[in-house]
Amino acid sequence: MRDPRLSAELRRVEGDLPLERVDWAAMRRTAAERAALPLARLRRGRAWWEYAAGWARTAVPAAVAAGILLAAVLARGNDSSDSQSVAPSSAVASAPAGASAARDALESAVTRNVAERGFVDAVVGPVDSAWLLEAVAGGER
Amino acid sequence: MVAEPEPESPSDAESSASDGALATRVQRGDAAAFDELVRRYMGRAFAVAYRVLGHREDAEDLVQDAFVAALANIERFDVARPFGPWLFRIIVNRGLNARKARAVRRTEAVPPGASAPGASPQGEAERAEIRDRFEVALAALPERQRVIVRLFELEGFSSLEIAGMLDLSDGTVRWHLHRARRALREALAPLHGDDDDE
Repeated sequence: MRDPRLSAELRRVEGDLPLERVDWAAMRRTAAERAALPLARLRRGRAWWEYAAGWARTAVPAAVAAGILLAAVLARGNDSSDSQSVAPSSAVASAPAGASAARDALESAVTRNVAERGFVDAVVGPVDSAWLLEAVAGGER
Repeated sequence: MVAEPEPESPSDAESSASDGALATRVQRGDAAAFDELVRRYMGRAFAVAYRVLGHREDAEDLVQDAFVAALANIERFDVARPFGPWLFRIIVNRGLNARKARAVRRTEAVPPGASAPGASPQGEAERAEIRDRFEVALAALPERQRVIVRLFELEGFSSLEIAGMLDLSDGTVRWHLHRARRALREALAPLHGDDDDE
């Protein structure tokens, strides 16, 4: 519901539209002139590169966003595989020392960071030639 | 409501064509159909532009820019919808952006005494006071509320039509309208000795 008094006072302050001062014919003519080129373009249809340019506006940002997302996913994948490979080490940190050494050796063997001999030593005990000499000497006695 | 400018002899077929039919023809590059849309809407378009910008020449420029912008996007226009609200939305958006981007020329002053010829000096002084109070109250309103109250009170647009132009809900426009009218009435209350609301 309009307020006649408010409308009247607003109109007194703001004034009426200066319709009589507008050159409507010139406005129409100028609009037609400015429209000539876009209208001609609409008449002849759009060329393939204009469609491509139109798609580029959405396709390029989408491709950039997809690239960033892919890079983030790959980086995260690497992080998680790294953390999985070190998990056993962290798990044995609180284990007894002997078991810890064996597990370290096993882990090293699995990751191929240790020679075969070293692995066997670690599992069955280090090769100590002293006990062998003792055994031989004892047998002779 | 705005008095439409005198038509310059459009053909019967064009003047009776619906907005949708004209827009469909414009989408195929029909200059006559575009000209008919311009003729049909330039009056109301100018009213909206003038109430946003407050200056005749700026408003004329804005109307022309809006028609060209509408043409540039005509392929995206839904021909099942009326053309006017779509055009007015372009005008309001561009007008508000223009106001933000630069200080538009001051609203054209109403010639002194133009609205009340032969008024007494006391009456003139009172009118001047009303004008001053209104200018202050209007200037204090947020931009959107100022546009809404002008379009509603001066140009006869409904709250629903204004909502379409500003991309707001009808309820939001009504709320802005209520706030703006209350502020204006409060500014006028000492002159009229009342403080009614709505």
